[in-house]
Amino acid sequence: MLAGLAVRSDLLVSAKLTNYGSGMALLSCKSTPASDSFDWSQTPLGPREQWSASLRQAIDGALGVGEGDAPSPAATLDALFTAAPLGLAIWDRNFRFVRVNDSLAEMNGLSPEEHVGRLPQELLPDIAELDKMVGQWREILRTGEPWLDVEVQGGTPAAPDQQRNWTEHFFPIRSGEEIVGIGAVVEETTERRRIEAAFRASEARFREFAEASSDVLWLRNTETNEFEFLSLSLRKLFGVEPGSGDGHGAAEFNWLSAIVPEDRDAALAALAGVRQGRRVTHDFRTRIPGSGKVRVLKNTAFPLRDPDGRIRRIGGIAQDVTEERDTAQRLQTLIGELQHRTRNLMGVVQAVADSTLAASGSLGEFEVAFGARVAALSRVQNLLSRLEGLERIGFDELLRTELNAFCALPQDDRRVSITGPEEVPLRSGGIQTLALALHELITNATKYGALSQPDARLAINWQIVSASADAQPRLQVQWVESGVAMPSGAGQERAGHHDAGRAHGGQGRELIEHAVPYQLDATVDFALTPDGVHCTILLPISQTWMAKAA
Amino acid sequence: MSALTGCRILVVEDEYLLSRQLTRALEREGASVACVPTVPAALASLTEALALDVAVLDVNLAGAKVYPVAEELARRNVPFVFCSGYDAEDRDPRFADAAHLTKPIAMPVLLRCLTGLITSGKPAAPHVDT
Repeated sequence: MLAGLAVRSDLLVSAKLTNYGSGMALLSCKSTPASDSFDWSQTPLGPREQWSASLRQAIDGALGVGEGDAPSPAATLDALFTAAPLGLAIWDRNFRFVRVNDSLAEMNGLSPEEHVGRLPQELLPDIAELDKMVGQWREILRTGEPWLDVEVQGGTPAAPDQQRNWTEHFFPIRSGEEIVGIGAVVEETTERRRIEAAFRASEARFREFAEASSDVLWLRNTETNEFEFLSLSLRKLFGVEPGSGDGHGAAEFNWLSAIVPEDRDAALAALAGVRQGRRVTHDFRTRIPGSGKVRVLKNTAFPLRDPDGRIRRIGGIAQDVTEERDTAQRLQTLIGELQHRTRNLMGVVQAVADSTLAASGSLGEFEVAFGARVAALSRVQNLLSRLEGLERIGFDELLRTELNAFCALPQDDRRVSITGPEEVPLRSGGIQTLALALHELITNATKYGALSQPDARLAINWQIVSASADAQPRLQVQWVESGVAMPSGAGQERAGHHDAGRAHGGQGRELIEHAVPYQLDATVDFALTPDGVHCTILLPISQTWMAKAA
Repeated sequence: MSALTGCRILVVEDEYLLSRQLTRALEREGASVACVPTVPAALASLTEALALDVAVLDVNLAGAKVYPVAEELARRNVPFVFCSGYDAEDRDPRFADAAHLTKPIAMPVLLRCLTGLITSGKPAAPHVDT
C-alpha cells in the first residue's frame, strides 16, 4: 500500500492523536482494554457489529487486543486507512496531500496516488470556499486545536456537474510536541441531505394539505399524551394559539374538556380501542368556546406504529359533520311529512270515492262528480307543494285556483266579481276541505245558480274581522249570488238537490255546512234565497301571519 | 250481529271526510260514534262521556299530537288504536305497545282490530301494519 509513496512512517505512527472529538477517538484509546467494551456507535465508525472483518481486525490490532501476534502499529494504521468506511486524509504543514484512503480517493474521483504531493486547490478547484478552509487549517497549525463538524460543499472530478456535501473534521497531527500536519475525516452527506430536503419538502406539503383541509388532522403521542400536530381548522375553532415548538401550541390542548360531557366516555373508549391497535370511527359533540355552539365531529382515529410494532402515536382525522347531520335530520323529517301527507291524501280520496259513490244514482254520475273532486284535490296539492317552510296559502290564491278551473275568474266571466285583501294566510290543516267546499259552491253555481244563467251575478267578498278587541281576527268570506231567475218548479228542484241529498248537491252541501265547521273550526251560514245562494264562512287564519302583522 | 253492536266509540280525526267515512262504517256495525277533530275537544268529550268501549285516534291533528288523549284513555282503561300516516315506529315510545294502523285504513282491518280490543282488551292478530 505504501510502496512508492514518500510517506514518513514516523508521521503515520505518531498519528496517535488526542482529543479531536468523536471522529478518531480510537487512536487515543490505548487505555481501553478491549475494543468491544467501548461504545463505538457514537463515533463515525459506527457500532462495532457493523464493522467489516478487516476494520475490526485493524482496530483490534491498533489497540493490541487482537488474537495472535499483534501487527505492527504501522501495519495497523495501514489496515485502518484501507478499511475505514469514511474518507481519511493527511496533509503536511504545507497542505500537500501526504496520504488519502480509497474512500476519499473515490469521492474525489482521483486515485490515492494522484493526491500525493498536491494541494487541494490544484486537485479540487470546485470545492466551495477552499481558501477559507486553508486559512482555517493555518489556525490548526498555529493553535493545535481541531476544527470539527465542517460542512463542505462543491464538486469533484468524480462527478464534475454534481454539487455534493460532506461533513469533515480536521485535526492536528503531532510528532512529539511538534505539529507535523493535518488529518481529516470526511463523511459524504449528499444523499442524507437530499433525503432530508425531500423529507422536509414532503413534511411541508403534508402541512399545507393539512392546513388547507377543512377536516381536522391531529397526531398525538401515546407516551406524553400531548398533541404533536393539530391542524389549523381545529386550532381556529378552539382558539388554540400556535405556540412554541412543533406542536403549534397544541400540546396542551385539552380535547376532552372540549367534548360535551355526555360524549366523553365514548370518546375515551374509542381512544382506548385505538391504543389496543384498532382503527375506530366515532362521533362526538364539541362545544366551541365563546359562541358556545355545539358541533358534531366525526372522528376516525388509527394507531401509528414504530418499526417494532409498538403504538407510539395516534393519528386522527375529524370532520365537522354538523351541517350534514342537520340536513339528514331535516330530510328525514321531510320524508316523514311527505309520507304522512300522501297516506292522508289516499285516505281522503278513498273517503271521497265512498261518499260520492253512496250519493251517485249511476256510474256516469259518479264518474263526473268523483273526477271533478279529485281534480280539486290535485289543485290544492299543487298549491301546497309550492310552499316552503312556514309559508301559507293565501285565501285569494285558493279561490282563484278554483274559479280558474271553471273559467270563472272575473276576467273570463263578467258575471263574477271578487273583492278582498290579498294573501290572507290560511291554516294548512283543513285547506283541502276548504278547497273542496269552494269547489262544491262553484259546481252548484255552474249547474243551478249564478253561473248557469246569463244575467245573474256572483260576488265573492272577503275581509278580516274581529268580534271584539280581544278576539282573534278571522276571515269572513261572503258568497252572494244574485239575479238568479228561478223558473217555477226549477227552484224547488234545485232546493231538492241540496235538501234531499240527491246526487252531489247534497254531498256538496255536506262539505260546505259540516266539513268546513268540523275541520276548520269555522262557522258557516248557508242560505238558498229567492235571489240565489248566500253563504257566509267565518274561519280562523294562520297564527304565524297574525304574529307577523302585529 | 257484529261485536261492535251497541258499542260506544270515540273517533278523534281532524280530516272530516275520514271521520265521516269511519262514522258511517262503524254505525253500519251498530256502534254509536262520537267524532271530534282536536285534542281539547276529545278531552272535553271524555269528561262528559258515558263509558267508552274503544277509541280510534288519528295521531297528527292539524300539527298537534293526540297523545294527551291516549294518556287519558289509558288512565281510564279504555282500549284504543292509533291510525296514522306516520310509521308505527315513529310513535311516542310510551305507547309502543298500543295497536297501530297505517293510513289509508282498510275498513275490515279496522273492524277486526276494534273487535279484538273490545272483546279481549287486545287487538286481534294480525292487525298491526309495520
